[in-house]
Amino acid sequence: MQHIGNAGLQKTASMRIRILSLVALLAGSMAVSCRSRSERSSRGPSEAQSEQKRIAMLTRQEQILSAEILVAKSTTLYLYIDSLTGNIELRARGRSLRSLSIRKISRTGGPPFVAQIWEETEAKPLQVPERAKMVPGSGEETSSSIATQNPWGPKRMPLDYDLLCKENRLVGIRSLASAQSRSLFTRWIIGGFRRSRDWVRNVLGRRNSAYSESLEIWLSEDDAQLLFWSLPKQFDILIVNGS
Amino acid sequence: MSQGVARNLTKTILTCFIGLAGIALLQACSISKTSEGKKALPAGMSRSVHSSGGQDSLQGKARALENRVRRLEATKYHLYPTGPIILVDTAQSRLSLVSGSKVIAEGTCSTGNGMELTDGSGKRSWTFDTPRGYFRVLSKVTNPVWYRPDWSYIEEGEPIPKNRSSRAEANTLGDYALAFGNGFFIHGTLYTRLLGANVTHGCIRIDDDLLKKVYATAQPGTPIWIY
Repeated sequence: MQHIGNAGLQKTASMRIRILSLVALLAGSMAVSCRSRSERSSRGPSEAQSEQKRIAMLTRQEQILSAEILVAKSTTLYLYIDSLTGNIELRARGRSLRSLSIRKISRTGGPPFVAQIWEETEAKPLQVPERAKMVPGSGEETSSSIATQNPWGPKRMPLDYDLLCKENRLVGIRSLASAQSRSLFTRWIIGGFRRSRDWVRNVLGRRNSAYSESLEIWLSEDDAQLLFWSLPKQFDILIVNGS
Repeated sequence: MSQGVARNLTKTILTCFIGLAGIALLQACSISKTSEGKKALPAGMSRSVHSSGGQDSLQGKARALENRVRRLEATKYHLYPTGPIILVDTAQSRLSLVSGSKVIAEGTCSTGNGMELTDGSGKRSWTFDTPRGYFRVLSKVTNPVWYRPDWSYIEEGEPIPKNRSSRAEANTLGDYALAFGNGFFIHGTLYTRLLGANVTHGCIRIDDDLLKKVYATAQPGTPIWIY
C-alpha cells in the first residue's frame, strides 16, 4: 500500500513539475515575443525616417520626370540644366546628345522649385561673332578656300551670352578660362577678371533687377562656345534644382 | 526514506527555480514595454508613424511612388523613336544613322560655312548656316538635279536666269538627295577632299557610301536632329 502511495505521490510531483515547466516555457516565449516587439518598435523611428527620406527622394524624381516628359513630348531639342549633378545637356526626346560640365551656377529671384521649364526666345551674344564676307563673283572655289583657311566652327562662337526667356527670365552663360594650355596662375587671373567684368556688367546694367528670375552658369571657354554653336532657335530649358 | 526526501527536495527546488525564471522573464517583458512607452519621439513625427500601421502606410506610399516613377521612366524611354534617326553633330562634322541605341552607319560630313553674301544692290543677303534643331526627311530623290538659287549666280558673278529650267544642274549633288525643308538637303559631293570642313551653303554633304546607306534606310518622316 505504502509502495502504491509513494508511487502516487511521485506521479503528482512529476505532473506539477511538468505543468510548471510548461508555464515557464510559456512565460519565456512571451518574454521573447515581447522583446522582439519592443525591438521592432524601437527600430521604428529610424525606419520611418529612412522611409520618409525615400518618399522625398521619389517625389523629387517624380516631379523631375513629369517635367521632362512634358518637354520631351515635343520633338524639338531642349536644354537640361541639373544643378545637383552639375551638368548641362542638350537633349532630344529624353536622350542626351551633348553633355557639358557646369563650373559654377547661381540663381537669383523666384520661389524655390524642384524642376521648372523656361522658354527661350533669343540667344543674345555679348560679343557678336564676326562672319567672313563673300565677295559677289568670287566663285565657290574662293569661298571654299576662305572657309578652310578660317574655318567656321565652335571656336568662333561667343564666350559669354544671354538666353532670354519668356516671363522675363534669363539664363546667362559665362565662360571661365580653359585648363588647356594655360597655367593655373593665368587661369586664376583670367577667371578673376571675367568674374569682375561680369559683376560690373550686372551692376551697371542693373541686370539682376531687370529680370524676375535669372540663372548664371559658368562653363569652360570651349563648353560655352560649343553650347552656343549647338543651340537651335527657340527651345525649352528644363532646370532641375539642387535644393 | 532519506532518499525519497532528498528527491522531493530536489524536485521542489527545481520547481521553484523554474517558476522564478518564468516570473523573471515576465518581469523583463513588462519592463521593456514600459521603457518603450516612455521613449521620446523625434521632432516632427507623429506617434502613428511608430505603430506598425503607420509604418505600413509609409511603405505603401513609397511603393506607390516607386511604381509611378517607374511608369514615368518607361514613358520617357518610349518617347525616343525606335525607328531610324539621323543625327548630325556639326561640331564634330559627323553624321550618324542610328536605330534605338544601335549605330547603323556613320561618317564625316560637311556643313554650313557661316559666311555672308550680299548682292550688288545690298538689298538681299544670305547667311550660309546649317540650321539646328529637329527636322524630318521630306522627300528622297535619285539622281537629283540642283536648281541653282539666286545666291549661286551672285557668288559666281553670273546673270540670274529668268526661267527655272535654265537653273537645272545635274551631277552636282551626287547619286541621291534627301530634302529636309527650306531648300536644305543631305546629299553627296564632288569635293570629297573637303569633307569634314564647314564649306557648304547650309546643306549637309556626305560621301557616296554613307549616302547610299542613309538613302536606303531613311524614309520620308525619318527624324533628323542637327546640333
